[in-house]
Amino acid sequence: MKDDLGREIREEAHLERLRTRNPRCQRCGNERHPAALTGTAPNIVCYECLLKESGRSWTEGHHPAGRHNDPTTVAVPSNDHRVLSDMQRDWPEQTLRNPDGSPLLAAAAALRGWMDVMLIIIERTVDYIPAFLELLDQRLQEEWGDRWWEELGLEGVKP
Amino acid sequence: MNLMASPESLPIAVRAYAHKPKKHKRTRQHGRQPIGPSDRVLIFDIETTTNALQQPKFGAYQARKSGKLREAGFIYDPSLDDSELATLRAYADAHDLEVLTVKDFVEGVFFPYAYELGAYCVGFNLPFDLSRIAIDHNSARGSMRGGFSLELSKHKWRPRIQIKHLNNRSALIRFTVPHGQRTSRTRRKRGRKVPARRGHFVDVRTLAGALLGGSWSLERLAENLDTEHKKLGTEEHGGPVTEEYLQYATRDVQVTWECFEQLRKQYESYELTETPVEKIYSEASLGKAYLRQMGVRPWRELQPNFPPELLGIIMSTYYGGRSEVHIRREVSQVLYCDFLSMYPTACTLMKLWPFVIAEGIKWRDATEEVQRFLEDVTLEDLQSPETWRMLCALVRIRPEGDIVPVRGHYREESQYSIGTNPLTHDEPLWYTLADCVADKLLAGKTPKVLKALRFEPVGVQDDLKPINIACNSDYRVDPYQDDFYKRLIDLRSEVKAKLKAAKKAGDEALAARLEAEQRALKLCANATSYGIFVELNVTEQDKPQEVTCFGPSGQGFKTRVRNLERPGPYFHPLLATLITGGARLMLAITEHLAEQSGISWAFCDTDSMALAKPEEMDEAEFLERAKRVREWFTPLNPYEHKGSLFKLEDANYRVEGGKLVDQLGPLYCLAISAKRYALFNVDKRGHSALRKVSAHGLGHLLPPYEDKEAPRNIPKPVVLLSELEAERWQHDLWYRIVEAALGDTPEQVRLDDLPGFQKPAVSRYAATTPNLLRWFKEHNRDKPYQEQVKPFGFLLAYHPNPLSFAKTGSKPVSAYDKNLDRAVTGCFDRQSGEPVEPQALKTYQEALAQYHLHPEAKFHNGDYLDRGITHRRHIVATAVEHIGKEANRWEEQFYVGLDHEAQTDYGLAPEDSERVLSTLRVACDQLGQRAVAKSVRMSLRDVSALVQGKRKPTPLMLTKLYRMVPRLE
Repeated sequence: MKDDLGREIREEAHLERLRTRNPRCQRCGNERHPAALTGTAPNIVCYECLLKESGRSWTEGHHPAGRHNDPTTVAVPSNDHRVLSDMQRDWPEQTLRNPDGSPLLAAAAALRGWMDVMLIIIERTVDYIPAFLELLDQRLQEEWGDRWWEELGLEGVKP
Repeated sequence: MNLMASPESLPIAVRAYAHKPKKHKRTRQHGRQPIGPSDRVLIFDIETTTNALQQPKFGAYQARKSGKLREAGFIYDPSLDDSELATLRAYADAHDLEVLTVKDFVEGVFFPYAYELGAYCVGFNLPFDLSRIAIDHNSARGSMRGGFSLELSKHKWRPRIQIKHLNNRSALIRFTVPHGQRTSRTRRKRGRKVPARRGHFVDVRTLAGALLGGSWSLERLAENLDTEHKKLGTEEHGGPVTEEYLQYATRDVQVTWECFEQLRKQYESYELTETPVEKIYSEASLGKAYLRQMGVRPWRELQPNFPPELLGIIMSTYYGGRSEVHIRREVSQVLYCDFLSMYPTACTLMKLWPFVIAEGIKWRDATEEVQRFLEDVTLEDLQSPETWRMLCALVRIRPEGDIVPVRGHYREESQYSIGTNPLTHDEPLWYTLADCVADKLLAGKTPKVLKALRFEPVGVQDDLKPINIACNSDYRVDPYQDDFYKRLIDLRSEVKAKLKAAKKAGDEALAARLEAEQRALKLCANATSYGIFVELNVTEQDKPQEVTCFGPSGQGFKTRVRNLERPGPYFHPLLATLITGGARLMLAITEHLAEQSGISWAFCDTDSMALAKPEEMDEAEFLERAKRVREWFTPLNPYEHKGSLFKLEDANYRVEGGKLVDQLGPLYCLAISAKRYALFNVDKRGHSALRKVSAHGLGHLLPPYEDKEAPRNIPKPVVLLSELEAERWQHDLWYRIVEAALGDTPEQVRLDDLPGFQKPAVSRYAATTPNLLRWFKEHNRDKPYQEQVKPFGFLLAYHPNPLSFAKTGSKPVSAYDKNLDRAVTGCFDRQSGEPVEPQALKTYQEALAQYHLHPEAKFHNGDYLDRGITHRRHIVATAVEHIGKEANRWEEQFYVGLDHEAQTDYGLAPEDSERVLSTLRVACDQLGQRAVAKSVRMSLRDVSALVQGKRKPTPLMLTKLYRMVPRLE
C-alpha cells in the first residue's frame, strides 16, 4: 500500500500541473497517464501530438535501466517514455542512482526496466481483453441463455 | 397605552458604512483555481488527557480511497507508558492496524494524504485534533489574522496549518504556502503557475450544523443519520489505555467517517456544484451556495459604483429584531404566538426577490409621495399586501418624540441595546418607511418627512438557472417565474402536510425523508432571506487603518480604526434593513392591535409576541380578542396555504402524558428582560410546569450538576428538554424563579439547596484565538511545548467575588480539568498571574442570585426591583455615534466579558464632535476643569488641552466624552 502512495502522489502532482482531474489529449483523446500529457486544462495535448505538430520525431531514446546504470537507449514512443520514466521513480533510490556502480544493482535496474516495459506492453496489448470477454459473456447470456455455448454448439471451445 | 416619560439625554448610535479603497491587486491568472479534492479521505481523532494540559495520549485514523479502507491504525504520543503501549500494540496486531507515533503519522500519513494527495481531512471538532498533533504555534498573519498558525513538522517544505475560529461551530482551516517552488521555470515563464495547495478540511460538526441546523454531538449525529455504527460510550476518557478505550477510539473514527459520507452525499444531492462541501461553514454558506447555483450575481459586483454616501444612509437605518419586555417580573396569562417564517414573509410581502435578481437598483426622491403615504396610511391599509410593496423606501425625519428604534448605552450599560422608544434629536436621521409607519401606529402622529428615497430594482440578470431544492424535481424553483421565498415556504407547507399524513399512517421511512426535505427547505428560506445581506466580516489589523465613514448625514469623514469590516459576497444592506424594518412593523401592528382590543402583551422577541390577559378579563373573552388579533393578519398571508400569519406556538396547547393534545390550556409567562422569560402552565395545586424557558445569560455556565442529580423536590420537565430549549439545571433554576414569583416572595429565589450551587460558578471555553491563549502566557512561560496550554485547549473562567478581592477587575481563570474541584485549585488572576483562592470566587448561587432581577435598562420601571408594566424612555439624543458590527467577537465577549476593542467605533461626525467639545467647555467654565476631568474619567492635562484647543481629540477621547455628555449637561 505504501509503495502505491509515492505513485499516487506523483499522479496527483501531474493532475495539479494539468489543472484537471480528468485530463485528456485534445488532439488524439489519449487519457492513459497524466505524465504523458502537457499544457493546462482545457488545452491539454500529449507529447506525441505535440512533437508531431512541431514536425519532430515522435519517438524518444529511453534508458530502460536508468541512465546511471546503462547508457543503452531504445526508441520508444514519447508518451511511453514519459510513463516509463515516471515508473522508474518507484524503484529504490539506490537502484536507480547506483552511485557506486554496483553490478548487482545495475542488473536489478535492467530487470526492473524490462519489467516496466513488459508491463506497458501487457497493459497496451491485453489489458482490455478480460473486461471485453466478461462483457461479451454477459451479452451472450442475455441473448442465448446461461449456457449459451451449448446453444451455439461451442462446447469444445472451453479451456 | 404608553406613558410618555420625561425626556432624558442619551448619546445614540447608528450603524455606519466604512469605506476603504481596495489596494490594486494583481488579477489572477487564468486557470489558477485548484483542482478540488481527490477521492481520498483521511479521518482521525485524538484522545487526550483530561487534565489541564489535554496532552495527546493516543488516537486513531483511517485513510480511504473511493470510500474503501486502505489503511487504519493508531497514533500514540511517546509519553505513553510501556504497559499502555503494549496494550495498544496487542490490540493493533489483533485487528491488523498500524501503530505510529504522532511524528510518524504526521510525516507518513497526514501530509501525504491531506497535502500531497488532495484528500479530505475529516474530523469531529477538527481544530482541536489538529492542535494536538502540532509541535508549535504562532499567530496567523494576513487574511487569517486572529487565528493560529500551527507547526506540524520541522521540515521547511512542509506547510503549516492556519486555523481561524469563526464561531463555536466553525473555523477556517487551510495549509500555508511552504518554502520551495512548485512550478517549473518554463511554466512560470508561460504564466502557468501551479496553484497553492490549501487542503480540504472538513469538520463534520460544522457540516452537520450547516446541513441539519443546530449543534450536534457525534453521538446524536450518528443517531440522527442512522449510521451503520453508533458511537460507543466510555468512562475512560483520559484514563489508562485499555482494550475498551481503544475500541471506543477506533469506533469514533468509523462513526465520523460514516457521518461525513452521509452528509457529503446529502450535500451532493443538492447539486450545488458551484460550492465545494468544505466551503460550507453554516446555513448562510448554504444560502449563498443556492444563490450561486442559480447564477445570481452579487449586487456589489453588478453595481460597484453605488455611492458610499448612500450606503452610509442605508446602514444607518439598520437595526436588528425587536426584543422587549412589557410586563416585567409579574406572572400573566398569555397566548404565545409567532409569525410564520418572519423574514421570508417580509421579503415576499415587500417583493424583495426582484431586488436579489436585479442587475442593479435605482433610487429617486419620493419626499412628497412618502409624506402623503404616511398621512393616508391606516391600519386597514396594512392588511393589503399592496401596501407592503410600497415600503421599499427610506425616510429622513427630524425625530420629535417619534417612537423609533433607538440604539444606545441605556443607563450606562456597557453594551449597546436597541429599544423602541420616543426619540428627539435636533439633527435629522434616516429610518425605513416601515419604521415610520410603526411610529405612526405607536405614537399616534405622522412623522414629518424631510426627504424620502424610494428604491426600485433595475432589470433582471441574464442566465439565471432553476434549481431543485434537495434534488427533488417537485421542488423546482425558477428564479424568473417564482418569488423564491414564497415558493420555498409554499413547498415547505406542502411537505409538512405530507409529513403529518405519513406520521399518521406510520410510514417511518417516508416521514424521515419528508422531515429531511422540510428541513432543507426551511434552512434554504432562512439562509437566503436575511443574514447574507448584512454579512460583514471583521478583520483586526496590526495598526489602525484610515477609513472614510459614512453615516446618516450622507457625508463621509475620515477616521482610524483597528477593525476593518469587509462586506460578504451577497452584501446588500438595503434588503437587510427593509426586511428587519418589515418585521418590526409586524410587531408594532400586533402591539397596536392588542392595545386596541383591550389586551396587553408580556414580551416580544424578533418574530414572536406573548399576548397577555388583563387580570380582570375573562379567559374566554381574552382568547376571543387574541383570536381577532391573530386573524387580522390572515389577509396578509401571501402563501398558498391560507390562515393567519400569526400562529399559535405549541406551548399554548395542553400536554397530556408527555404528548401535545389539540386543546388550548392556560399558559402563563414570567418575563424578566429582553430574551429572558419563562412560559409555563400552573396545576391545580398552584405549581408550575415549564413549557419554554430562555437560557439567555445561562448558556456560558457549565452545568453545576448532571441531570441524574437533579433535586427530587423539583418535578421533571413535562416536555422534552429539547422542546424546552434548556438544560435540566436551567429548567430547575427557572422552576425556582417561577415558584417564587407565584408565591409571596418573588425577590427571594431559593437556590441554596440546588446541587453544586455552592461551588464556584465556572464557564468552559476553548482558547480559540491568540488573544484568549495569551492569558496563559505566564502559565506557559519556560515550559516545554508539550506541557503548555495549547490552541483550542479548553480553559475555565470564574467570576471573582467582589467582597473577597481587594483589587477590583481581577479575572480568575484556570486550565481545564474534567475534575472541576481539582481545576479550581489551579485558579489564578490572568492579569497579575497571582493565585486565587476558591473562596474568592462567586458560587453558582452568588453568580445567579440576581438572575431573576436582571434589569430591562432600555425602559422605565425596568430596574432590579421594579415589577409590572415597563414604559418607554423618551430619549433626547445628545450625539450620534457611528458604529460597526455589534456582534463582533460576541462569543469571546460572552465568555470573557466585554472588550471595548471588539466593538468597532467610528466615532462622531465632525459637527457632533464640535458640539461635544463646546459642552465640555461650558461644563469646565461652570464646574472647573478638575471636577470635569474626574467626572469624565480623563486626565486633567487632557481636559485642559482640549478646552484650550491645544490638542485635537482622539476618537477614543471623543467617545469617552460624548458618553458623559448627559452627565456634563
